[in-house]
Amino acid sequence: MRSTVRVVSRWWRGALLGVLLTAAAVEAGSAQEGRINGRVTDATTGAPMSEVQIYLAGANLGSLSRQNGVYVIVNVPAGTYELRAERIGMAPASRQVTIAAGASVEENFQLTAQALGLDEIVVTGTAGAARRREVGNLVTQINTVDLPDRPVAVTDMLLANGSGIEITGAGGGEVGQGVLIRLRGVNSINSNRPPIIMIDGVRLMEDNFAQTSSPDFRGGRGANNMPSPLNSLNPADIERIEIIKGPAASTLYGTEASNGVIQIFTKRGVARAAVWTAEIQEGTSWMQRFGIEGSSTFRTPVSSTDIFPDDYVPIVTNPKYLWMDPWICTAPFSCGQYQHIPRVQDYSLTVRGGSQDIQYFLSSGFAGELGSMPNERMDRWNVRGNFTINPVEDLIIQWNTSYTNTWQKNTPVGNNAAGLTLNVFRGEEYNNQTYLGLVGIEALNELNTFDVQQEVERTTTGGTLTYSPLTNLTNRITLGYDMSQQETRGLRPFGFALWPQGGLDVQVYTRRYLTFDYVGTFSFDVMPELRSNFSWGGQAVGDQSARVEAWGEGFPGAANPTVSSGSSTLGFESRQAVWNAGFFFQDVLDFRNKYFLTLGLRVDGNSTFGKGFGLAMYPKASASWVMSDESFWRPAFGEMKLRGAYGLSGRAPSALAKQRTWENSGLGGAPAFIPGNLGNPDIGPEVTAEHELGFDAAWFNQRVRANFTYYKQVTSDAIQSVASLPSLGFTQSVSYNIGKVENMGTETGLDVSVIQNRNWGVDLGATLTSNKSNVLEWAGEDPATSSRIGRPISYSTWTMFKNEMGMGTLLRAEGTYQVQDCLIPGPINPTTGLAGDSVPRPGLDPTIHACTQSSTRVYGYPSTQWPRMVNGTATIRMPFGAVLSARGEYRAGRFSSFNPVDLGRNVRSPWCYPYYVSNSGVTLKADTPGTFVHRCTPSLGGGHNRKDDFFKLRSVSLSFPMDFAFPDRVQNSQMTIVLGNAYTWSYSPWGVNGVDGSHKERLPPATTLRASLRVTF
Amino acid sequence: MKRMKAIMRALGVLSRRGTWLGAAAAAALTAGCEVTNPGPVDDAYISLPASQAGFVNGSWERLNRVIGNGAYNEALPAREIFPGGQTGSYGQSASRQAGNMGNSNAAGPYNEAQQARWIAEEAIRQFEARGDVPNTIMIKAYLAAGFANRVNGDYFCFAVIDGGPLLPGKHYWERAEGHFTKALAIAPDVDSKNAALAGRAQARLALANYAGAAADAALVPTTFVYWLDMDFSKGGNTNTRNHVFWANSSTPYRSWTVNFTNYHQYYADTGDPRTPWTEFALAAERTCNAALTGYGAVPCTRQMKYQTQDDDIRLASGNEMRLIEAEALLRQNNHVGAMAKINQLRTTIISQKTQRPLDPWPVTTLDDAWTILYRERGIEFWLEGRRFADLRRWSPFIEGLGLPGQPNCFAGAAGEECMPLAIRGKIDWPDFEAKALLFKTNLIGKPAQATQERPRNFCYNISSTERNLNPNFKTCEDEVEGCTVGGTP
Repeated sequence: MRSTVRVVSRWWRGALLGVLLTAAAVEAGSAQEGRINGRVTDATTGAPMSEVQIYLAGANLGSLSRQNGVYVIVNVPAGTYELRAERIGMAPASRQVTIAAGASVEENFQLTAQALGLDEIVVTGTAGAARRREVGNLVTQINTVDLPDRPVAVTDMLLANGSGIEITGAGGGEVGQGVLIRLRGVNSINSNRPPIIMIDGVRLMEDNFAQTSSPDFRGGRGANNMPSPLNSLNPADIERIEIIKGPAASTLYGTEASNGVIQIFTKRGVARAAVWTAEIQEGTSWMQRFGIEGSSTFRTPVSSTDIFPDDYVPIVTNPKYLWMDPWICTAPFSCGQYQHIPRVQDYSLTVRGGSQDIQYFLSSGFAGELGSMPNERMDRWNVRGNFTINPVEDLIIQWNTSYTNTWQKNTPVGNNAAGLTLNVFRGEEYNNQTYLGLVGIEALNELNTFDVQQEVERTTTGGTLTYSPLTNLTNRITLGYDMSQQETRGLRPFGFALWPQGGLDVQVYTRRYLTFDYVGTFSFDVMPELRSNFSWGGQAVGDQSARVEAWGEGFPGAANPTVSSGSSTLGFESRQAVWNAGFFFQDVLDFRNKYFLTLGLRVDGNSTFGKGFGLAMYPKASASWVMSDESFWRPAFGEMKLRGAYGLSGRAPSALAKQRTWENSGLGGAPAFIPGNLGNPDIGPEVTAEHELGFDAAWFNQRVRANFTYYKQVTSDAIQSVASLPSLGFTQSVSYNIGKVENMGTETGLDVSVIQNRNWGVDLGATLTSNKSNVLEWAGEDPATSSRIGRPISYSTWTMFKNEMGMGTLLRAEGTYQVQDCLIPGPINPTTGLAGDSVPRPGLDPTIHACTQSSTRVYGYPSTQWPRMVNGTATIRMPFGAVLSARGEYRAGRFSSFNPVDLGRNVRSPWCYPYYVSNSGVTLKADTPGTFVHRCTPSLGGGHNRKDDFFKLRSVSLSFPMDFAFPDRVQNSQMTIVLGNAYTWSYSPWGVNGVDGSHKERLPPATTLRASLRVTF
Repeated sequence: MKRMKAIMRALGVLSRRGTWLGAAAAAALTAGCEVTNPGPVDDAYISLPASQAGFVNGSWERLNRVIGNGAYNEALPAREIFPGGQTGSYGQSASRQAGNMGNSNAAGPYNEAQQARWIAEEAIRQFEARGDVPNTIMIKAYLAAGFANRVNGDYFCFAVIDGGPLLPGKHYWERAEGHFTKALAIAPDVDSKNAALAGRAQARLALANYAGAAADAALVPTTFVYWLDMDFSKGGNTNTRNHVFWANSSTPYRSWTVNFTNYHQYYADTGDPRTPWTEFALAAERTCNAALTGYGAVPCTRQMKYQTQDDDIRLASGNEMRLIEAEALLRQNNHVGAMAKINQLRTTIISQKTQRPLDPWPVTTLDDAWTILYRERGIEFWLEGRRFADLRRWSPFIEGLGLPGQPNCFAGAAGEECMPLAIRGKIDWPDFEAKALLFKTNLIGKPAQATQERPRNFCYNISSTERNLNPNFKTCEDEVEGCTVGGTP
């Protein structure tokens, strides 16, 4: 695979050159005459403003203001022009200028901030486009120009505005590892799908790519690396991101939209001379020490049944444990014997420009990373061409195309018997039970010969044709195609310790999305002061996936093999297609430009719906009121908009849920049909209804800006998988629309400009998110005794009960045998650590039911309710255009299931080893204290909930202008130094579970130090 | 006002057209969204002539799984093998080592055994309704249904049929007898006929119809063997591999050993090819992969009955028929005749030690003859997944062997014994608890004597899914014939 990449790299160099020549050719046509310069400042504070687009309308000439607010436009032909200044979030300004040949004109601008941006156009969640004042729901917008820390991944951009947006790690801190995105918590039990992701109106693959793995019966999960498709986008291409978070806003997207929508808008060309932007980032990284820590401690109990107490107890450090030190760098440029110095690189070159008839935005980029362990490496190349064409009046064609190639190699880690971390953790403890039967750093390092690679190619192309034959009639047609292809390759070479004859797994996964979309909008005055914007349209989205997998084993020698080199080979194939099509109507009634009412309906068909279900209907209604436009409102009150929305959207069942099928299991080379899916011909989507209420406000001359949203989602027809009766042949679960869950929360944002003057500024911002969910109805469960009804949706450890002796142990009692599983031991005696007398388990007759699990208690904390998430930013603007910024995240109310005895697969907690017989990790010594009997019995560790609060200082950055180092032709230059993942505090001594995967066998996230130089010319 | 009228007119047109447009759109949505995904076989395809053989084969595949797994999983409670200490992959939990098949083990075998039965019986229902299915397929369906019911009867003390109520286990055997009878009626060749006869003899023995069992058995030649095809190499399917071989082979597990079992010494003494084992070649292999708590590494020996992952397992044999005939004679207190049958079988078997026929057992007393039959059936069924159920049938003979209250007789009402009570306590072929100090020490971390987990549970539990979801599933005491307090369905 690596050799293929080299070829591609050469191809890319050619493409990059092509981009440069194309842009240069366009630029060669510009004239050289006069010059306009000036300075852009904030009207309120007088502070210089950077990143402001200054351009001469219709003249193909423009510039970008520098960090100190200064701009220069050269080569201006003599004449009279309209000079415009625009920046997202600011009210645009323009004026007439006349310039003579060879003259120089100075024009300064003072821009006023649009705190609420009420007249900004948003397009996500509305049919066509709408002004922000018209929209009754919250639309979160992330402008890349506002991000101070130069993110190298799109998923990092989403963290910039954390209100209601939860980003958790899909795995650990491996290079190229993906994330899981959740908007407004969870509103489904069975589906954990991410939000819909669109780019410029084209639907994208939203699920993470599959992890590198082998056929399950061959074992060995490679690197457990699941890249996010979002991260194959070049951050330099993105202008803004719009996020709508629930059905109240996403109704018009229909089925599959109940988890919200993230829409990315890439940069477009502008009708002026080419403006180039080049950016170079270089940096390094290091990692906190990790491994099995001999000094782990526990904290005091919160209840009498918590046998894993909470107070710090000193533990004897066990010298037999190995740390990961030989394979990581624990400080900048300080690495173990097998590790290179990590390197982070990101180069991008973009150009935008054009004429009145055609505008372009072209970009190319390379991101490279040598990660924090020996095998961690990634190369990503991408190129994009966005073209806007105005062939005739009233017609605009926008066509965007991008291609990305990502190659990465990873260390075999995770819960992987052939992986480095698990074997190191099992190391010299537990009877030296590394899976390869060897101990010692040198022997363990041989596991790095497990070669885990993957390559992802991504092509997204799509266009929008906008035709406006009348000023009040617009038709918009969008066609889109997104194709992702992932090839994973996991090679255990000939001679590999755990597979001496070698084994190779190759998978090719292809996912295609096809988008067809039409929207028509007709605006008319119903009566004086009442205007109607009526929209109609339809949409069809096809989602096709295919996976082809091959496995070969038994290689003839140490040569570089293919699957075909194996003595035996196997092949697998799976394919699936899902189509969704729908039409919608929407009407926005605008009364006096301050009262708005929106009504809409979407009707959907979907290939996953059962024949007995029919079509899904999703109505919506929303209203907004711009209070600050009322006559009674005084300017001193600032600006205020009230909003409310109600809407429904859906979540499709799985592709085969409706169908009764059989599977060919095969026997002796002949077909053997086994009952597969029983199917439900009436299955339909989960339908989530949401209402949200809130306001947006700005006070004190816009120095304080706030927004608040309360939402509540109720998912009726929640899909529940119900087991089938085995005696009727089919044993797989069947999906029914019979559950009901609710999910609610608040989102609050507050930004305060503490100091505002010409040279200094201090801005503080925070978002507070709280959310909780609740199961209302769940078939087959009695609310009085249910382990699920009345609990949060995502709480997963209710059935994690163990008895004293381990599951299924028989006890002799009064001459008969009883299955102890049916009994509940009484509360634990804190002195002896033993459970009290057993009592029958409610609801079960021990003479009938040999219970599935013993039912004792849940160890640890109560359920998670109202978890809170606070995202904070602090920005200090200093003289000479320097800006110091920090961004942090705090989450509270988190609990996660954890086994404090089994820290990894058969990796026992170090504090228990003094009590085990012969380091067995199983049998306790006879004189083990009572409390330690429980604390060190592996079967009792499961089901322990631990508090999982944490604080992360996501980034600290310092940026300052570098204009002094460049000639006048350089419009803007900026140096940014970023410390990423600067600091983490977690309540748990084992790190943050789920967010960065730093517990168990995953890698903790690396701390990065990067320097970025961006030059615009 | 004029403007308003124009707008309303336009909306009226839109509305009328919208009705048609809406209907057309709805039709397009429902039709356009129909997708047939490749891979899974649609239900409509399953009874077509082209798929009938595969339909029946599905039952055999499930039989393969349940017997393939059963031959290994039950071997330990049946004391056919000795634990090597492995409790993870291909290991035996401490609970199972103690003789509890338990609920944690139930879902897999219950589902697979039920599917084996249901697929075959569903195929028969559909095929009989069609009336045009060739005998070559019908016979496979009847035999599959017969053996699937036999396996259900072997493993489960209570029966559940197609979502119905909890029934005594004898219902499986009665269904098996019926299917074998139908198979016999259409058997197109000698092998199929012998298979049907042998299967029916097995069912009739369980139903205490000893005369009927012996009559069927007598028609089956000693040389006859009916194999269950274990399949790994052709499909690479680990579920249908020979698990007994795989768990004991040097790589990757060596998770059990022949040491400390009756069969270890027996083979050393006799060289009987029905219980072969050998030492592993390398010194490092001569202890099992893991260790027994409180003891340490266990001496490891390798069974030789199966030598690859594809080695087939017997479903029925002429050898077994001779032993059925012997048992029928013993029921008539004809121990001389019974011993003649047993020794007739032994003299057809060539010792791997002496290269001569096995020595006949001495003909002594009636009680000794019962012991000899008990032992000979153990030898005959070694590692075939049969001994487990056989021990349940024999447990009244041996004090403390089976779980008190556990149904062990398939023929009669609750509590009826299917073995003659007169010989209780006189059967003597000690299990390894009584032979090996190693096993006495502890297996679940308790003092030696207290850990004697005999009697053992020789029934799989009915899966919790069936118990919880089946609306016809009634309580043991109230509804189920043969179910006693303390018995666990």
